[in-house]
Amino acid sequence: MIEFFDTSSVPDDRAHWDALAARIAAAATHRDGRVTALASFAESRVSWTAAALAVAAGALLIVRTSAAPADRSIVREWTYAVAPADELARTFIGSDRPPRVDELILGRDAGKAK
Amino acid sequence: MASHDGEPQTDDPRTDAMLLAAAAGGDDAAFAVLVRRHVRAGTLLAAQYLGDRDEAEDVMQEAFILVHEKARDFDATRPFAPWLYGIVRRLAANRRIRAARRRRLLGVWRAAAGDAPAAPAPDHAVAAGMEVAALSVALRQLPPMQRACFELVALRELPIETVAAMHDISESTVRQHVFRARQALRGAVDDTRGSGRNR
Repeated sequence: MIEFFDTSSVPDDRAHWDALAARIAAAATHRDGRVTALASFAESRVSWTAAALAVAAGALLIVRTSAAPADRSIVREWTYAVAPADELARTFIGSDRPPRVDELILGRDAGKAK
Repeated sequence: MASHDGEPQTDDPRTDAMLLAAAAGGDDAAFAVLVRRHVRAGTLLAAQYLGDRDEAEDVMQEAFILVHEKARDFDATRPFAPWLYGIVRRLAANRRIRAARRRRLLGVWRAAAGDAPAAPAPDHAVAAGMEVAALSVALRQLPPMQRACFELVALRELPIETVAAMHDISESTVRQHVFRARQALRGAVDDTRGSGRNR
């Protein structure tokens, strides 16, 4: 047989019950609102499509980012291929920075020859 | 019976089932009315199981979170109050079992650590006079369900049908418990008066 406690520790005035009810209602609806929002997102076809598109866009971005160095080297190769044949022009084209004086005099392989 | 001071002041004409259906449709105000309507009885019920106000209020909050989550699944042909009080009873009983387990473990730990057990709380009621003392003793000696029903009906002024739903017993059983409790308490007071006169 279960023993019962007396309830003398519980205040019994309207203000107390009003406040407790407001607190409990807010907690229940707020918590459930968050769960519902997540659940409705998971159930929605639009949200799944949007998520799939976002994943695809992310994957594309990763592929493009990782491919970028190779692309850049291809661009450089093509630049050299169509550049004028003389060493001075190739020195200007083949570098991102201004050429050194020895490169201008001896060509772009001046430093490597040492 | 006159409305108790703790009962909600403004009464929404909608039934519990209507309020719950509205809440399931996203009407938070309807849910708030439903909570206000049952928070007092539910918390008192939890307090009878747990003996602690904060724990009782926690249980009530857990119960209403469950109610809100299951609002769509509720069978509107069934009464709401017994369903709610059933949830409260289960949650409170589970919490009580966990608390008892904790106390037992704590007792074992204290015994192992060689601590003296805590002194029992003084019984303030006994010091308040012979009749009060006799009433207090008689109240403690009542069978648990008699005492629980007497407290809710006679002291907390909850309606018989609410108490019946709270403890999942029939209204006539509640009346019987309250009647017997009153008889026992009256007998205790009469005995005290009789013994006082004989001195």
